Amino acid sequence: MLNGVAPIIIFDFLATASLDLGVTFSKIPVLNTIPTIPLPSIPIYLDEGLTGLYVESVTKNVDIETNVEKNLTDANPVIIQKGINSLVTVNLIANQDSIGMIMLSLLCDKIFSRLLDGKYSITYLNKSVTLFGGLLHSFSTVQNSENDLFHISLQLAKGRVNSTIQTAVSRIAQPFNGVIPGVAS
Amino acid sequence: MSVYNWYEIFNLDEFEEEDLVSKTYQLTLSGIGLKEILVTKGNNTSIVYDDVFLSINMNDKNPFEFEDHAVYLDSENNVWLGTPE
Repeated sequence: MLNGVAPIIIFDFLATASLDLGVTFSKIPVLNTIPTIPLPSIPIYLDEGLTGLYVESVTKNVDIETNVEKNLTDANPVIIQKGINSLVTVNLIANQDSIGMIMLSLLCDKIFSRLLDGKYSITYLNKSVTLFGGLLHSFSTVQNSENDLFHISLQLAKGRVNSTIQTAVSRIAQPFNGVIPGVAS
Repeated sequence: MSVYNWYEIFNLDEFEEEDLVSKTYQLTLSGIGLKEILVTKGNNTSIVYDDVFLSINMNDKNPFEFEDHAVYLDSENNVWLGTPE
């Protein structure tokens, strides 16, 4: 909940623009390069009264791998950190006939069929835990025989970031000795 | 002109195709160890290695030499880093 009535999860889907823009529009650079069009967002309030979903607990977990590399020539080691994942885990309880539970299950199934193109994003807002443009990491439901409650676990990962800065994968480079490469000294 | 140990770092055409402002290449330079080389785009594309800033083809000097290091752009647009022997 971000000053709203209840915690909310919002599903966004993108559709590939396959409209024939015609010769005139295809010459306009901006129109010509938009590959996708956004569909209307689908919000689900995680509220017992509105959708029959109750947020039991929320956890946030950031996992980072740290490598310390000692060079032959340097006194100071090189520290390389790689982000493994940044997860928000939402544990929910729902009734069997909860409309929110049905929607959540259907939308997660829809995402499963769109994993390859990745044209979706999930936003989650609940008090201090917020996630914008996240990805589905896992979705599971458990039903006990003792009652008619569903226990839902929803894991969301931090989404892709469009950055102009990038780190390449490490590789080994062999030296060539000379005044310029290709011309031996 | 000095003699260097040359290491092939990246291809300039591929870097420009990626449309990035900067990219860090992590390379294990044989005989030196693991190093990070920052490639950054400005008026010229430049590399930063061990706090030495080397602009590719600076003032039409190829290789461009600065503070015991050098950078060289070959005919296939591969960028080479020259370290002291």
